[in-house]
Amino acid sequence: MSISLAIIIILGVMALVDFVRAVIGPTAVDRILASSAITTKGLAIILLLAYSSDNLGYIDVAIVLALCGFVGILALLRSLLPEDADILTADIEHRPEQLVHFTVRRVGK
Amino acid sequence: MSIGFVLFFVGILFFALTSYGLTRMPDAYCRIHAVSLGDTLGLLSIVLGLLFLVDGVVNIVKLVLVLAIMWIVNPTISHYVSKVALLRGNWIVVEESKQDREASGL
Repeated sequence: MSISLAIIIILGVMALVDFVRAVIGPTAVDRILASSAITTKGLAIILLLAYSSDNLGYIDVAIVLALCGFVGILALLRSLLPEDADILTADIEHRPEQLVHFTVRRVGK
Repeated sequence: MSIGFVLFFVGILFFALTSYGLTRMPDAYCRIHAVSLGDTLGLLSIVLGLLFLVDGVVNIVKLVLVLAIMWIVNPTISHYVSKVALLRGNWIVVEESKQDREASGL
């Protein structure tokens, strides 16, 4: 039982590391991605808590969290999608060199 | 009994790789790759470990249901995130070494 409690604490620390990316993330996409990772880790924490506290009804909570997290993140992404998404999607296939942005980072000496 | 805990450790290894990739990768697309693969496999390992430890048919069916939901949801979300990132103009980081610069003459 104490092993699963230790694993829960380790997963909580990893969720805090993901939260750093959610705070400093340069774009909105990074923040949404970090919140998705935190949701999955929370799901694992709830499942392990259900086993370690011997209260297996918590698995229902995990099912609800999976569905609600999916809908929430999908709604956030939907609000971030540009208005002319269909035109852009068709456009990117024809002139990707103008629409896809590259940043060159110099490594080594 | 113990194979469940071994699978737990495999799961937290994958979750640790997810956190490392999310923190250290240079652009959004690499982070999407890390989060998608690492989280899906980590949750698979943890749920497989719980299947060895939990008894009762109803609980096992619920655990498989959680796994099925997340295995459908996680690739869907990463596909949509990458589509939104591409359409919003997120940049792709290209690493250039000294040999590349000399070869291109800049």
